[in-house]
Amino acid sequence: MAAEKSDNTTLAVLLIIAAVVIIAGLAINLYQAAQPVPPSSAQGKVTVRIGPEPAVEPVSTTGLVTVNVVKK
Amino acid sequence: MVSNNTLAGLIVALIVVSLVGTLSVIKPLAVITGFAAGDVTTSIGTDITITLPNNTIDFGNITQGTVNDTLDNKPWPFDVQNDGSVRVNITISATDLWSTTANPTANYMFVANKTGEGGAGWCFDGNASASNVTLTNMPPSTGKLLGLLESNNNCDTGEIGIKITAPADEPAGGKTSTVTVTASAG
Repeated sequence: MAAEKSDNTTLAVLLIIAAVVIIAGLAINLYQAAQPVPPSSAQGKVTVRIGPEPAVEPVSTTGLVTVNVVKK
Repeated sequence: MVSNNTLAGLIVALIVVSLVGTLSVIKPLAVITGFAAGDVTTSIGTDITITLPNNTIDFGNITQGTVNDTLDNKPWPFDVQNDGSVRVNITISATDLWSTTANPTANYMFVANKTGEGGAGWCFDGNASASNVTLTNMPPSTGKLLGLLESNNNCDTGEIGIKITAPADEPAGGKTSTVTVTASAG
């Protein structure tokens, strides 16, 4: 009879531990589910470089001035 | 009849299964999100291109010792246009117009001026330190004309006015001078 009581006590302790573990796991999952989802973000860098680079040779173009001189 | 030992074993198994299940679904602390990063590098090359949309000034007949110029747009002055991708500094030079007077001479002068483009503003640096905005004797070799002429199509032109005075002793006949404008990155 004493041995059966001891076994029942052990079972009760184990049941309590099981209940605690299950409740703790459930609480952790519920807590995490309630947390906001971190936003997804993207980051990039755009670099634009407008010359001068490298040195460019000067360019030329021409025009004409014309006149016809007449005597006084 | 199930023995207490069997029940104890089942409960222990229940605890183990519960622990494993809980630990397997706990999210790691360092949460991975959709973060992405990258670099884009673009280079726009330097292009220096200028044109003279109006590349001929014909003064017609002029009597010895008299003056004519393009300041009244008769004849029309040169317009120099920046068709490149960067601001440019422009120089000017010209061959002799007269046989009796070599360049530089007050008988053959030029001046930088604004065009109608850009409204009241200037498409180049109109300060005297950058551009020749007063009548200047035409140089035989490189002389300053325009500084920092813009490349924006809405405002990328400058005017080159010409003033000539026929020398009193200049022989009659046709005279021609080739004007060269040269652009370099500003």
